[in-house]
Order: sequence, then structure tokens, then C-alpha cells
Amino acid sequence: MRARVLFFLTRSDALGGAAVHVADLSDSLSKMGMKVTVLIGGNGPVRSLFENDSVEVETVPFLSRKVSPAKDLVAFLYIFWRICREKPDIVSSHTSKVGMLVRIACHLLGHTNIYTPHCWSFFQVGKPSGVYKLMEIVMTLFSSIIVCVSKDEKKAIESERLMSRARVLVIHNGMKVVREPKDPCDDNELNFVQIARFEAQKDFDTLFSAIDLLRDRSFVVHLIGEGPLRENALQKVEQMDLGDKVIFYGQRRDVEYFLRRGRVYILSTHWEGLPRSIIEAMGAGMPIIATRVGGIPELVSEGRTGHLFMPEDYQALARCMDRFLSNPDLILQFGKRSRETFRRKFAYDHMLANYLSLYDAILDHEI
Amino acid sequence: MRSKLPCLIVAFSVLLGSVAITAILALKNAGIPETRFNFEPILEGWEVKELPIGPNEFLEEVTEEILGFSYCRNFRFQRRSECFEVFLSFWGKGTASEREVAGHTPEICYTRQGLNLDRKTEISNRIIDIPMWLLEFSHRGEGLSLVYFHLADDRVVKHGRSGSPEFGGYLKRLLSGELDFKKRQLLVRLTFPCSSLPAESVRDHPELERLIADILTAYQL
Repeated sequence: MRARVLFFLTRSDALGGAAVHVADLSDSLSKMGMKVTVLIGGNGPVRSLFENDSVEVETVPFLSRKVSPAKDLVAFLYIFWRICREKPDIVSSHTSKVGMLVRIACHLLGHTNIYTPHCWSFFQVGKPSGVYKLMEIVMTLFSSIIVCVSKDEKKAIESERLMSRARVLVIHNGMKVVREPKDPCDDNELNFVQIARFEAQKDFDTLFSAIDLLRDRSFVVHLIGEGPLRENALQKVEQMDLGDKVIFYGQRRDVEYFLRRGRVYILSTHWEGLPRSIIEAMGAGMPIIATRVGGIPELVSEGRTGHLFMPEDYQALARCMDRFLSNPDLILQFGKRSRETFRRKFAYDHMLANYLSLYDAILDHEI
Repeated sequence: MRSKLPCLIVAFSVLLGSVAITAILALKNAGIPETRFNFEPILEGWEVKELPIGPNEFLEEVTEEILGFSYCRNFRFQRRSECFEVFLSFWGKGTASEREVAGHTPEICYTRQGLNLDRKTEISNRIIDIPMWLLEFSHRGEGLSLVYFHLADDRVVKHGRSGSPEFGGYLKRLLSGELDFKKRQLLVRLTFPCSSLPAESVRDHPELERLIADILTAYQL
């Protein structure tokens, strides 16, 4: 039997980790002979990720990230109708908004659903976390299986009383790309790389403040990514007179080039699930410096594959960067371990095998 | 849009109502006191080995989460050329509906894995006072027989169930009490990997009788 899989994704305007995750999985599943349809909100650039012609990509009318009761209800009715009509074997929703609508629809239809939050909405700084947490807790009542991308995410929701019956699994993100480790670099200028969208989630202020503390040292930080806050970041760098230390590249498709040339990967952020950019950098054999939030400590082993600092602690970030600047030998040593960890735990095949086991189990059981 | 407003209001009310009912049921189920079950097999003359419930750590976790049981053990019993395996899982009150557990019975799971169910026979035992099911499967020319029973409180559940998404499915399950988790449940599956001890032995094998009686005693406590 050719299994039918429906993926749901909230937004198509931002090329984030969730979108890449769905694109990778849908590509693999369709190559294995499954019939895969991706239903997504809007007609944004995320659609370009689905290059495999056998994966159908369709739009859910009126689905967007913004809360709008009337539009959300129409989107819900459409989702309900699609699931009812297609009777898919697997229904998998990604990110919180569409996750909510899909889970309610599946619950009413008596259909198993898999929900992957890719970072709980209540982890997000600046949002009323109590309200979001309550919403997620209530929504767990409609969930068949929740797949968390990190143990930290699982712990955060399992501690709630209503969750006593919920089925929560951890499947770490995995990346497809496997590059050969880079050769030791002999240039004098050390390159740090950060690949991140310019959005409220990422903490550029802390990064710039740390760079400012190290302004007398010789290094450059390469920032790859787009987003609504990019202009603010440019202005800040200008104000702080850090133009010779920070280079902005915008959205790039040749990310691999930067990972091959860069020496140390940085991710300064406010909240995370399990960031794919770090996994990709580990695959490229880079040591990591990152904020100690979400699932990042599950990726980065302090003092072995990189260094972690507390949120907004720019002095600690500067110290982490300084360790690599003062002792470049560490880069190769940490980078090797980083790549080894990637191979063992975060390679794409590993993640795919776990998802396939889960799908098999769902197909085998009536849940 | 205006002409569709009444439909949207009705849809929204249905949605809100189902969320409220689900939340109330969940709170009700969460309030049910925990029931315990424990079973340590003792069968004189037999070597007992505990088996993992999945082939690797992740699959064990998947099995645990998907079955959602309160207690689960998997044993292999061996005596010379005779052997059998017992997979027992227990759901305490407030943890699962009868329908959910009935979805994990071998006639559902094994057929979903591609085995053909050739025959399903109710069998009884001289001493054990519950009917059991003898299932005979075939797959690629090979046969497999097993015996199972499913208890919800003290009642034997007679059929494994299968279902697909359907309009109004929620209402149907709600009205039929399938969303009610008041019962504790036990699902026991016996498989017979050695040809010297066929599945039919359950009818009159004294040691199998004793083992099942012990399991039932543990369940009654």
C-alpha cells in the first residue's frame, strides 16, 4: 500500500528550520514511494524548498501566523475537509498555529496526528508565556503524539498535570549535508560565522556588545540572513563603529561556502528548539559558541565541542570568543569532536530512521 | 461573507463545544486515582527471561508512548524444547479508553504489519474462566499462531477495532462512551515460537493455566 502523508506548515514567508525540516522529510518520503502533500499558509519563498515534483504543495486558504478568528475558522474548516476527504495515513503538523487547527480537526475526526512544535510558543521571549503555555497544555488534550526536537522541550511540557496521558517523543533534528572536515586554516584573521534571520528571536545586541569588547583583536564576524530587523542591526553596527568587524551578506543560498571558510560558528539567541544552523555547522566541523537556551546544550558539549553562555551575557560571549582567538589550536580540536557528534547523533539518516519507525508504529497500531 | 456568517457561527460553536467537552473529560480522567499492577512470573522448572519491548532504545520509547500503558512486561519461558512468550500490558483507570486498547490487539496490529489473519477462534480453558482468542496468521507462506485476551475491568472485550477518520466520529465516540477512561484494562498476548508447544496448548497445558491464573490474580488485586 502506498502510504499517504499530509504535512501542515503555518507560514511560507520565512525560510526557517521547520520549513527545511518538512522539505527534507517530504522529499525523502516521496522518494520512498509515499504520496506526500504539504499544505502551507501563503505563497511565500518557502515553496521554493520543495523542488521534488512528486511532493504536492498546496495553500491552506486564510492560514497565517496572525490570530484572526474568522480567517482561522475558515482555515480550520478547510483542514478538516482535507483530512476527512483524503483519509491520510499520517497527519503531521509543524509549528504552533497550524498545529492547533490540525490537532482539533484530527481529534474531531478520530484521526491520529503528530505535532512537532519546533520550539514551544511559550519559550518565546516577549510573548505572554502564561497564556501560551496554558494554550499548549490544553492543546495537548487533542494531540495523539507530540514530537519534540529536544529533551528540554519534552521536559517543559511533561511537567504539566494535564499531560499525564500525552505521548511525547524526542527526535532530534538531523541535517542532510555531510561535508568533509575543513583543512586547518593558516590565515591570521579568524572568521566567526552566524547564520540567522534578523528577527526578535535572535540576539544581535549581545553579539555586537561582545564584539565591541574585543574590538582590538583581529577577527571578522560574517552574518548571513535576512529579516525585518536587518536595518536596525546595520544601524547599530554603524553607531558602534564596528564596520570593520561585522559583514552583512543578506540571504544566501551558498551557505556551504561560509561554513567551509568560517572557523567558529556563533549563535546568539533568545530562545531555540534545536537549531538546525548549529547542526549544519557541526557537520562542517566547526566549534560552536551559543547561548545556553532550549536544546542547545544537547548539541554543544561545553569545553569539548564549543562554549555556551547565558542569555544576554555579552561579557561571557566575549570571553568565549577570546578563548578561540587566544588559542586557535582549540578550533581544530573542538571542530573534530563537533563533527563526530554530528555523525553519531545528528546526521539526517538518523533522524529519518526515527521518523520512519514512528510512522511504522502509527501504521501498525490503532491510536 | 455575510451570507456565510451563520455557518461560521455554528462551526465556531461546535468547535468551542468540543474543546470544552474534551477538556472536561480530560480533567475528569486526570482526577481518577491511580491503579497499580505488578506481576513477577514464577513457573517452576521453566527458565524465565525478560525481553525488551522494542528492538532498540528509540523503538522501545515509541512503543511505550504509542501504547500508552501504565505497566508492560515481555517474558520468554523456556523448558528444554518447549518455549512461549508472554507480552502483558496494563492500563490503569483514567489512562485509556476501551477503544484505544482494542486498537492494539494482535488482529489489528499484525494485519497492519502485513500478516493475513486466516482464522480467529474463541477458545476456552478447563480452569481459567475467561474466553481467549486463538489467531492464526500467515505471511509469505509461513504460519503464526497466538493467543490473546483483553479485559476491561472484569469484562472480556471481544473484538479488536479499527477505524478511519469520519465526519461525526467524535460525537459517535462521545455518545458510545468510548471517551470514557473509567476502566482498568489488561491485554495479554501469548506467542509460541517453538513448534513443540503449539498455541492450542493453552486449552489444557497445566503450567500455562497456572501462569494465566497468576496474571489474573495480580490483575484482580
